[in-house]
Amino acid sequence: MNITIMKINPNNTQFWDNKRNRITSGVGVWRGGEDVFFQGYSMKDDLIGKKSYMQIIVLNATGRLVEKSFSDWLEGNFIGLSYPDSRIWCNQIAALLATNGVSPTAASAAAILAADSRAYGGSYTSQIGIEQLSEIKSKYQGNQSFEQSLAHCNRRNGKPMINGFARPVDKDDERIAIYESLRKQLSIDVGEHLAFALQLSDYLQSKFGLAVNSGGYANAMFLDHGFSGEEAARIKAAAVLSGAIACFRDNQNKRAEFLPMKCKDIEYRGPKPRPLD
Amino acid sequence: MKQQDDKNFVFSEKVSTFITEEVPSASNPYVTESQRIYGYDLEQLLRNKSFVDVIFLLLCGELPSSEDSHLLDKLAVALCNPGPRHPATRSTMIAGVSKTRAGHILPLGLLGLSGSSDGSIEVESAMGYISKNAGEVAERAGIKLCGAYVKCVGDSNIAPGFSSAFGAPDPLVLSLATNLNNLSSDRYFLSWALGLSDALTPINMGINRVGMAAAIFLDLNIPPREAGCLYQLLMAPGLLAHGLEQTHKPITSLPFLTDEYYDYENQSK
Repeated sequence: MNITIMKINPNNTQFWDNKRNRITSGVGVWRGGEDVFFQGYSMKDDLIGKKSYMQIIVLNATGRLVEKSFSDWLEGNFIGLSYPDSRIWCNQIAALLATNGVSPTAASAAAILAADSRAYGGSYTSQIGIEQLSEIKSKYQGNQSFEQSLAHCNRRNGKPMINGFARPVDKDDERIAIYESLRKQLSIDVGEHLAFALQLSDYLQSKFGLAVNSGGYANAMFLDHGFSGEEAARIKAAAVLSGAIACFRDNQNKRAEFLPMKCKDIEYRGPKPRPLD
Repeated sequence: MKQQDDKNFVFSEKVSTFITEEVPSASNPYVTESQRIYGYDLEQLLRNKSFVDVIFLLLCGELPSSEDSHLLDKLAVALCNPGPRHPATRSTMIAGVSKTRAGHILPLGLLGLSGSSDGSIEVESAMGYISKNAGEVAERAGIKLCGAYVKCVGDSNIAPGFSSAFGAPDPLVLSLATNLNNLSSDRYFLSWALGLSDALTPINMGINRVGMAAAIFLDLNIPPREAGCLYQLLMAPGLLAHGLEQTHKPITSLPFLTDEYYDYENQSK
C-alpha cells in the first residue's frame, strides 16, 4: 500500500484565522428588530401561528420542516415520555432537587441530563435503537433468519439486548396501542421499518418474551420518515422535560419530604471502621 | 468587528479577564506557551502551591495566607461528602444506576446544590445574614430569633445557615464546625456563628452545613457569589464518587417503588 505523507506546516493557521471573529451558520439568523429565519423560513411569515411547536423542534433539530401529520404523531410520542410519576429516574431527580429549593430550570436540566441514558429517556436510546434496528433489518433483508440477524446483539440472561424492544421496568408498554391508533387517525401509512419492527416484536415475544416499546415504535417511525439516529437524538434531547417539571411541582418547597431516609436505610458494605496510620 | 451603534447596547470588541494570561508560542499565535494566573506562572504554582491555594487564587485574585489555606483545605474535607442521603448525592446515584452518561453525573448533582436550601443561594444569603448580624452579641441575636420563632411541621430555617435537620440541630455539622474553629484563632464569623447556633438550641435549631461554610467563607474574605459556587465545587467529590459507584451496578440495584407505595390522591381531571 502506498501512503502519501502530506507535509503540513504547523505554523500555518489560516484555517482558524478564517473562522476567527466570524460565525458561519447553516441553520438560521436573527435580523434584530425585523425577523428571524429558521433554515430559510421566516418566523413572521411562515412559522408563528402557521406551524406547530413540534414542527419547529424538528426543524431546528434537523433542518427539515415536516408534515403536520408526522409532527402531531411525534407530539403524541413526547406526551408518552412525559409521565408525571416521580418514580421514573429523571423525575425522581427533579423531585429531589425541588426539595432542595433549586430553580425549575436547574431541576429540569438535571432531569434531562439524567435521561441522556442508554437505558431510557428517548434521546440517546433513540440513537442507539435506530442504529440497531437498521442493522438488524439489513441483515434480515439480506436473507438471514431472525435468529441469524440477532446473532451479533449483546445478550443479558440469554435475551438479545435491542434498544426499543424491552423496558427497564418489566411491564407491557401501554403506549403502543395509542401510537397505532394515532398513526391511523393521522393517516400515516405503515412504513417498511415500522412493519419490520412489529414483525421483529412478534418474533422476540414468542422466543424471549420481549416486545416493542415506545422507543422502538418511535425509532421505526423516525426511520420511515427518513431520520437518522443522530437526528432523532437531537429531536428528543429534552423529551422528558414536561414530566420532570410535574414532579418538581409536586415537591417544590417540601424540604426533606421526598422519600426521607434514615441513616440505616443505606446499607453500608465497605470496610469496618479503621484508624488513620 | 463592526459596532452596531444604532442599538442601545455597545458590545466590546474583545474578551477581557483579570484572571488568566496566556502567552502565545512564537510560531503559532493559537498555541499557549505558558500561562499565568493573576500573574503567577502556572508551572511555579504547580511546584509550590496546593490545589486549594490555586482555587482561592482563581476566585479571589490573591494567594491565601498559609493559615487561610489550611482552613480552606480543612473546610474542603468537611464538605467533600454530604452523604448518600443528601438530595444532590441521591440524584447522582439515581443517574448512575439508570445508566446516564457518566459525564453528566457530576453536573446534574451540582445543580442540586444551586438552590435556596443547602445550595449556593443559601450560602450567599447566609453570608449576608451573618455579616449583617455579627456586630451583635451572638447570644442576644439567638434570643431574638428564638422569640420570633413559629414552630411549623418539618424542617425550616430560622435564618439562612441555621436550621433544624429532621427536627434537631445537626450534630455532625456542629462537631465539624467546632473542629474547624479550633484549628486557628481569630475566626470571627465562625466563632459568632457557633455562638448563635448554641443560642438556638432551645428551639431545636443550630448551624447547618451552609452556615458553617458561609461563616468560614466570610473569615476567608471570599466574595459571596464566588463562595456560593465554591460550596458546590467543594461538595463535588462525594457526589461524584457515589454516582459513579452506582454506574457499576444493574438498574435494579436501587429501589423502584411498586404501585402499592405510590399514592395518587388527585383523581379528578
